[in-house]
Amino acid sequence: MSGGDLSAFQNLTDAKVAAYLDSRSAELGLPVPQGCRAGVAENLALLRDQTALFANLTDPVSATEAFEP
Amino acid sequence: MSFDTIQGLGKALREGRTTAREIAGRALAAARAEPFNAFTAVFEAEALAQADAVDAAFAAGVDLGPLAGVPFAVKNLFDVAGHVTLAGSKIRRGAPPATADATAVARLKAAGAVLVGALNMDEFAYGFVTENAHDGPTRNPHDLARIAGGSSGGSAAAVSGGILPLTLGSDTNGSIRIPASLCGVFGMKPTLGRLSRAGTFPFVHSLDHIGPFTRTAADLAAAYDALQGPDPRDELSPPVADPLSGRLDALAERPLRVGVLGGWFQQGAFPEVVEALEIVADALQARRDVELPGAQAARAAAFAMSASEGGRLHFDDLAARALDYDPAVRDRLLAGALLPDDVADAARRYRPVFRDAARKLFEDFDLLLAPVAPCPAPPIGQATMELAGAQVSVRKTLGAYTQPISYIGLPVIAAPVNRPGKPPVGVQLIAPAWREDLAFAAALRLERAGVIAAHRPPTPAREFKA
Repeated sequence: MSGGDLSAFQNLTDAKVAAYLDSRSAELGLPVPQGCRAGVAENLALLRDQTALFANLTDPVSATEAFEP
Repeated sequence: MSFDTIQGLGKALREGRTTAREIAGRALAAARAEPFNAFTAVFEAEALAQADAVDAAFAAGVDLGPLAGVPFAVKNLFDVAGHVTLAGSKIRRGAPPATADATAVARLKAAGAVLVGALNMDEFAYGFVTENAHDGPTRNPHDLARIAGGSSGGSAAAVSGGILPLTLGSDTNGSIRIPASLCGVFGMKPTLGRLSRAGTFPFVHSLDHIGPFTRTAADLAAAYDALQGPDPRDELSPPVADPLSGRLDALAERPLRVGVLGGWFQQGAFPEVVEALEIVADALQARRDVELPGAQAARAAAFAMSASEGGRLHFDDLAARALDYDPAVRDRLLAGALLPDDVADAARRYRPVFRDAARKLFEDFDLLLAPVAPCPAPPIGQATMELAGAQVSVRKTLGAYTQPISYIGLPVIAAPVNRPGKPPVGVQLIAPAWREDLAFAAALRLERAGVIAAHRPPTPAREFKA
């Protein structure tokens, strides 16, 4: 899965989160120390769940505007 | 502990009952002896020199204004010339000292305020608890066994504990409002872009705000006024100052149309939090159960944006020395750095959608009310809490009601509800963008009616049941 694949990230099952961690870590050159893997995977799963709450509410091809409050 | 206010100190100085040096000396002594672990540094020599300069100005007939001689301290992510900006980390302990003060620090000093120290925080501002792995937890002055909240925990505790009348913090997702609420003091998060962030160590550039903590609404206005103004060093281009201190009486009388946010903003709230909100709502004759659609999605988007931007900011250090981070922060930053690029883009795209929903509500209301946090201060070391029947992380959940609001940059005053003898609980007074005056109007009216107040903690601090 490429770094830009939003729908694939949202569709990760819990069992696939660790594999995503490994592939993305290798792709980016960002090693995750062994002792951190469980915590990072847990946070990735939480971020996947949170992403599902907003990612499909806007048009993915629309431009991102410079935000004004 | 002195529990001075800015106004009280100013009066005493101008009546010749004290000097800036005497005030600074008292604040420095309190900072060195404080039992809350609020301070990470005390700047004794510099503070006394600044105080002497203020006294010299008074002696020469120069009145520097309402902050003259007022001691203050800053969250340790603000640059202070000659000192290393730690941002709560171990990693930055070897960084070179700052060469200039942050704009906010410089403005307060120019107004005669005296900087006495730097304050504890969650590492890199990523948390709501100030249980810092390197500097230890900051303790809540109302109950030393409980957290002060975060990430500006030291800033809130120093004011709540009566050490200082003024501190500065930063708020990306709730980091001023939450500790203000848990410690029972006033905290202000302005409109995104109102106050310059130049010279502060960033967390999430798209969401970062700075603001003051005080013991009264009038003091908050005095600090806010001194911090305002354009600054070419901040790319958000803060606007020309719009001072409020000269019109507080008029503001306190201003009619307000007030709504209480329901739905997401009360989901899982503890009974005492709802009770406190009702006290404020009654006093402002607010309409109940106002719905701000999309709040849960906004909170989720802010959550993901923070992880993604924070992770990218720290990418190089995470790659080189991840184990030097606070473990609770490290795992979140690493996960954020590993997110697909499109997550942050999607989170940014939802921002104007939610902003427009809020703008629509403000066609009918001048001010919206919401709790600050779902609960009073949890015990230090408590990892999880129950929210709406589920066990959730304290560190990640205390911002459930603050994150949607900072996501769209609205100005908020976190106001301490007057509940003597009970654990501190705050309410968010949320105004439309660039209308800080309306949040102050509500705060002043509520304070004058005795509905909100910063109480002194019990001496000695007692345990409360939450």
